[in-house]
Amino acid sequence: MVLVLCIGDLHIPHRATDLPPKFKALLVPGKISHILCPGNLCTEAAYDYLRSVCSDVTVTQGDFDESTKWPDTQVVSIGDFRIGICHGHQVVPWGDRDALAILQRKLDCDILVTGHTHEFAAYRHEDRLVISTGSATGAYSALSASDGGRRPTPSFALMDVDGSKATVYVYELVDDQVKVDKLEFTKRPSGGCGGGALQL
Amino acid sequence: MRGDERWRRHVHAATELRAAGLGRDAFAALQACTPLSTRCRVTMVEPSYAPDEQKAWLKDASNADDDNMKEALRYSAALLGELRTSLLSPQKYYELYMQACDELRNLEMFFREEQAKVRPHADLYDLVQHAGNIVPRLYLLCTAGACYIRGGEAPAKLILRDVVEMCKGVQHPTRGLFLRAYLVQVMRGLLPDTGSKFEGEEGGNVVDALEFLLVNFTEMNKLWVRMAHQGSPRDREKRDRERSQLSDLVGKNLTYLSQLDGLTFQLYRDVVLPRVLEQVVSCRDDIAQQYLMQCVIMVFPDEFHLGTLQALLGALPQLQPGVRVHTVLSLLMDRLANYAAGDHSVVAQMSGVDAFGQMSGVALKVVEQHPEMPGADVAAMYSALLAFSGTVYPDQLEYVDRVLQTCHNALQRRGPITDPRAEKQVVALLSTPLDKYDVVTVLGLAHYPSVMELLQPRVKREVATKIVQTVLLLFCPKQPRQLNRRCCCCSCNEAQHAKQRCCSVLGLAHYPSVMELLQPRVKREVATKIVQTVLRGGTLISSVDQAEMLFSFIAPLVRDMEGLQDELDEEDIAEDASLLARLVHQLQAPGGDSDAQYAVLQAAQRHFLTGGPQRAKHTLPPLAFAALQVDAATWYRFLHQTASELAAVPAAELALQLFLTCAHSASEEAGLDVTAYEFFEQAFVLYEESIPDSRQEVRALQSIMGTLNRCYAIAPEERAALCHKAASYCAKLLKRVDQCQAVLACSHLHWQPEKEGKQAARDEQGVLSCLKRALKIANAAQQQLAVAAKRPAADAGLGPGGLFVEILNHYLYFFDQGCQQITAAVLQSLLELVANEMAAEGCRDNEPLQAFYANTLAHIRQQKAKGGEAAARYDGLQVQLQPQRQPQARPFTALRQRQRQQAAGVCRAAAAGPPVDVEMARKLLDGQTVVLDIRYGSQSVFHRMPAAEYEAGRITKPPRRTVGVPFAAGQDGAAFVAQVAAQLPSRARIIVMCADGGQASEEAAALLAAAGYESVAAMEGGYQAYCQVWGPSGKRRPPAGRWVSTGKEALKSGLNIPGVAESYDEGGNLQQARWAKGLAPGETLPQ
Repeated sequence: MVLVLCIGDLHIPHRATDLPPKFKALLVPGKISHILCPGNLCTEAAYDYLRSVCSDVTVTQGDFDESTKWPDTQVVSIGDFRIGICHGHQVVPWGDRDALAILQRKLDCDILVTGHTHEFAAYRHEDRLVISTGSATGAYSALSASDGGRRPTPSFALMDVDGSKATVYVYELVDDQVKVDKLEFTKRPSGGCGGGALQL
Repeated sequence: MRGDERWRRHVHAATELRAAGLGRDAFAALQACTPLSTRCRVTMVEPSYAPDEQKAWLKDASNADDDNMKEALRYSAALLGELRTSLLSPQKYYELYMQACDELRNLEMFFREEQAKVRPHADLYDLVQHAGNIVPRLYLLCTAGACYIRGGEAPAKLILRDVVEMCKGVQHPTRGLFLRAYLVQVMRGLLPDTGSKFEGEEGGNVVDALEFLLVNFTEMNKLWVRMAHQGSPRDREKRDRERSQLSDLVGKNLTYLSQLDGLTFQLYRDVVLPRVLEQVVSCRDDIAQQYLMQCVIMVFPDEFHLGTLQALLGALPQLQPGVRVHTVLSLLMDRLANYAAGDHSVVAQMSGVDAFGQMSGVALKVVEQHPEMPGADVAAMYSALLAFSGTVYPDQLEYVDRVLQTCHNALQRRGPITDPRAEKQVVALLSTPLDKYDVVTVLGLAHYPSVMELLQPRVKREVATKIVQTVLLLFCPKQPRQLNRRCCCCSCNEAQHAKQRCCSVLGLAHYPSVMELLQPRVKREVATKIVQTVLRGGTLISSVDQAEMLFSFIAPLVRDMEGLQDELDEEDIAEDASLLARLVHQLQAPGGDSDAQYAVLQAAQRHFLTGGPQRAKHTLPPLAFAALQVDAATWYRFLHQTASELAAVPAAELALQLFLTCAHSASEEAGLDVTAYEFFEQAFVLYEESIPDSRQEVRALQSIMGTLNRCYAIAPEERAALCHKAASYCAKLLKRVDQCQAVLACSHLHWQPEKEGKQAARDEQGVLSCLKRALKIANAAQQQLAVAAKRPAADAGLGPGGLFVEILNHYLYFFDQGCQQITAAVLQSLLELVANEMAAEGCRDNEPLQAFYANTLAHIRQQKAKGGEAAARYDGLQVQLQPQRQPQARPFTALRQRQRQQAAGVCRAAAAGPPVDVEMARKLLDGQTVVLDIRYGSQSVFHRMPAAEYEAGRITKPPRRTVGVPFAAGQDGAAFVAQVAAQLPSRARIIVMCADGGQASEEAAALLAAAGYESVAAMEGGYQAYCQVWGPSGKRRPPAGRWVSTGKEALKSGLNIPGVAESYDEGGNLQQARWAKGLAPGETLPQ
């Protein structure tokens, strides 16, 4: 059993002061074994914060990251899964499922972790799982602003990987209350493009 | 020395007297019969220095009477004669005087007894005046006078007046002082005070008592003052000290005055105070004035002071400059303050007489009249005034401010404060309000900082540190809020408290100026702490005033500080700036008031712009995003400005991203097409002019594409212009892979996703042309790789082959999206092309690429299996669903198989192996293979090639591995075989090469095979084909195609042949690319 934190688009300090305190309280060091961050940490300080939660942090390049040292895409293997990480601003049209599917095929990953839209999404696409982490700080995004002008809900995902089974816990901050959802994804052992039961 | 000796003797006498072992009562009893005991007489009178006149007096006295009286007076006079000395210091004199007093008390008792023996006091009063020396005489007179009054035989009034006048006889300061001190002491109970038994028609009333005390006081004071002028100026200091010791003697008068029962306020105001003050003022003596003023203030009741405040204070400016008026004032103020504290009605009374106004007026006057008054005293005086106003009028902050103001004015004229004492005083002055009020209040005082200004930087820093510490206490919720006593409201919780405190601290006008005084490093620390507190408390800065205040508080973070630049490195500045950046999100006007918000953010922008580029880089983006979150069309100007500033920093990439975000927002949120276009234009300008490196270019272009794809509001023509521009950028990227991917992204510009209520731009032709361009670039990239002759490294990712698959995916995307121009037929041919590529040598073993390809095919399969309309379009598609690796025929393996078959008798016909292509030939030549060159010379089939040309045309390295045996098709085979056999053994591996790979080589190969050569193969294309791919040095020639770089790469790869670059035409040549195939990794030639 491995806990994997998928968190991204912090945009500290560009668009937010800090992580919501309730999230900070949740993210205590010592429990999480991997952090996957699709990008837009913006500053080194935010990266250092993630490192303080867990030393194994995988980051990809976001469009507002100060440093340009991160790769555009990364693939890590956790449990039986190949997990691809990409910020998503490179994928035009942004947040498009089919376009992301291309990326997922390219990275040949079972789970794709992306961000950029600042909207949490977790869905199965052609037997693969796509997680859009949303913004952990609920940072402003022109994308969501143009879709009705509401502020994005702060969110992140915590994945519990157990062999070929991944349970994704979705943490969202709705009206200053932490809301947790759960969904399960199983990789079919037979083939590369395994399908699985997806329940929300 | 002599004085000391005498003193010792005097004391000895006194001690002896006590040491006689007699208790006080016994002694008194003894004296009652013999007034001064023999023993006493011996010790006290014996001293040989008793002057002559004393003896004479004693004689007179003994003649006058024959009883004890004579004796008593004689001895008393002798004793008192000791007081005539001028040799003793006042302190010693005082001790002597005390001894004498004791004796005189006894004498008084004796007198009383005498009176009982019907000796009238009047006689006694006369008798004592026979004493020869004035000092003993007057002492005795006082004693007798007291008895006279006590006996009720004479009116107190007269005796008092008489005695007090008589005492003028002694004008020696010390002796006079003590004499008069004795006088008041003996008379104090005998004054005709109201209610006393001595009051009466004749005895006089309280006025006489007052008169007596006042006269005595005046005289004593005169003597006291005169003391200062005795002796040499050298001993002045010592004398002053001695005088101070005597002050009590003078003060006694005032004490007794105040103790008179009959002293009414009326009397005090009209008689006592004016006269006392007159004396005090007119005596012009520092010590006297100082002491007496204090004395007056101490001994008389508070209400008197309150009533006569004006007169009392009026005297202060007239005092000598050396008088520490501040101590006097502070004493008075303390008394009044205590008085007010004990009785609240007094406060009103004080306000009635404008006590504060009067006091500050006096202070001002004092300062004006004594320009030479040291700063320390001024400060001390004002600090007393401050304490007074703080105690009496705790709510009148304006008073405090006024005090500070006047103090500042007073001190300013004295220039900067350097004297340590003054420094201390000013620090005390500044600390007073800190202790009395909470720091928040203090810093609201307008003149607090100006007073601080006067201090030396070092001291200023001290005060500032204190203040800042106090403020930080407010910020720190864990600390008990002892300093905050005046705004305690313990009902609210801690968080609110913290918030309140933050707010109230932010209301402090002068806190920043206090902070100014700290060391820059400390200042920065404090500023950091403040920001952190604001952030932690979640305090919202809601008005411009608050924001301005906050920014002046944290100025060390906002801009460069003097003296700090050297200490800070870039990292520190970045740290500061990011703290500021986080702060921006706390700048929120309440209730979404966008005007207020605008003002606040503008203020912030103004401040941030002063911070220099290093900070602006961090602080401006948050500002822009804060602005973006308020939806008001007017904001775009602000945003434009912010982003432009950022571009000027220069932080081009960030600015570009910001412009794009703004464009997106302007287009989608506000629907302002012109504004959005403008933002795009700015972004494009930045892209063209300021993006420094290629990786950033790629990133920026990605964002441009993504944003443009999302913008619906821009008018079609303008949109087309932007798209065109973006597309042109693609071609200018450095790497082909990037170019290709950018063009793919570009295709989406012509195909916006459907969106509710928006007109999505859809241009199939545009999409298709982009995709085609992508293909072209992929081709070129593929060839480029071939040129570099590099095997894709294991970690190189997908390589150029991946581009084909990616392009295929995009074709599929648009196909799925219903792009009509992409038909099944188009897809089909693309699929074949990709399949071909995937089978090629560079791609076959690239696992990620193959996985990508497989995934893509799986996607197609899934789409097909989906059913419905979408799947129907796939029907025409023939997909080879698994990518197949086609094993290439390996020439010698096949040959050997055949030979094995031969040996087994299966097939006896000898034949050469299949021809090898130039690629294979090149590889084989690296091994043991030799080339059999059968070319003829150019002129004729029958002439040998000239040796030079042949040598130059050798394709092997080293050249000895080429064997030249000319052979033409149809030639006699036996001679040829014989010639070959002469040079090559039958086991040799031979590649037969003719000029053009035609008939000749095949024939020659067949002949040799038939002649028993085991490994013979003809080369496809012959010498011509070989030379097209391989250069004379054995290196690969560049393939046809546009040469990207300036030729540098060509030089690097050794292809510096003139005209090579020009010879390649655009578009690439797949045929040639296939020539460039090599062996797969790990594959080796069979031995």
